[in-house]
Amino acid sequence: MGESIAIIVIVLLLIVGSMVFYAKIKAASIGEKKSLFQELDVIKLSQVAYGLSEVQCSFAEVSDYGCIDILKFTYLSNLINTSSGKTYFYYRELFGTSKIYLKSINNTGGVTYYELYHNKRNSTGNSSTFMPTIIYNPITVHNTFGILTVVKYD
Amino acid sequence: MEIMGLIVIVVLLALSMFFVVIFKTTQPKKEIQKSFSDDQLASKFLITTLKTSAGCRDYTIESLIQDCATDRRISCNGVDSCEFVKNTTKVFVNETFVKYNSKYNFTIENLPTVNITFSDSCSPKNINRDLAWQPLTLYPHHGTVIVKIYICK
Repeated sequence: MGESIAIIVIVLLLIVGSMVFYAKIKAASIGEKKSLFQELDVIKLSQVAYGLSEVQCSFAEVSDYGCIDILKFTYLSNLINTSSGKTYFYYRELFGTSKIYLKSINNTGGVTYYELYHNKRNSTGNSSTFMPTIIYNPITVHNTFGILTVVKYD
Repeated sequence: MEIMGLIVIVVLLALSMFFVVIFKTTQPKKEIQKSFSDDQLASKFLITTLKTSAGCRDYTIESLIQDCATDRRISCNGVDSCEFVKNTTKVFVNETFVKYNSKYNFTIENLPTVNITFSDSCSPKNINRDLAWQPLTLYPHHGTVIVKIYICK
């Protein structure tokens, strides 16, 4: 009788141990999947921001991919940050909880920042990516070296 | 006898857990974002750098490199085109790769008088993640200048 009870207890312990082990492995796997999807989210958002037709340079009505018109960029930034209603919600749906800004660098290392969108909410972590881009100023007709940075909040 | 059966079960369970742990830890971690960023970074850095008119009248870096490789007639802010290209590309490289902790090797090959190479813990012989290069013709002069960037692991 005592032997049987001991075996049952040991088997139960083994089952519980296996379940705990399985749960740990599963949790790690879900964590990996989560970070994978976060990475994909940042990539997707960076592509959206980089190819945003509202701010792309255009010559003879043909847009130039990889070039940002700084006048369009600052105008859109004002539009998003000062408007309410439809415009704001359109871009909030497009960008979600993120920060998108442009860094303009001149040949001496002088840096100017232009923020397009910022919505942090109650996020704790973030992941970011950046891409060099040409900043075109139609008034001076000059191209400047720029870096478009996208921070996606979790 | 029952004890033997239990020992066999415990050993089998331990073995299977061991294999699962080994399998999980030896799997390479997927770095989708890093790999995607590096792929994009190399080519976009080159395109942006070459098309930038970095404060020397209307000349782009591309035309300054071509001048540096041929006549060296253009002067910007008191320095010749070669020196200007070297200083400016160094600023861009610093602001892009150094600030974001990327290992890189940037070179402009076939310049007759100056050597423009910036590198951080990375050489073309190292295992590299991504390479972008752009040949620049010197027409009507002979030759081609090659601008290269490696981004290393």
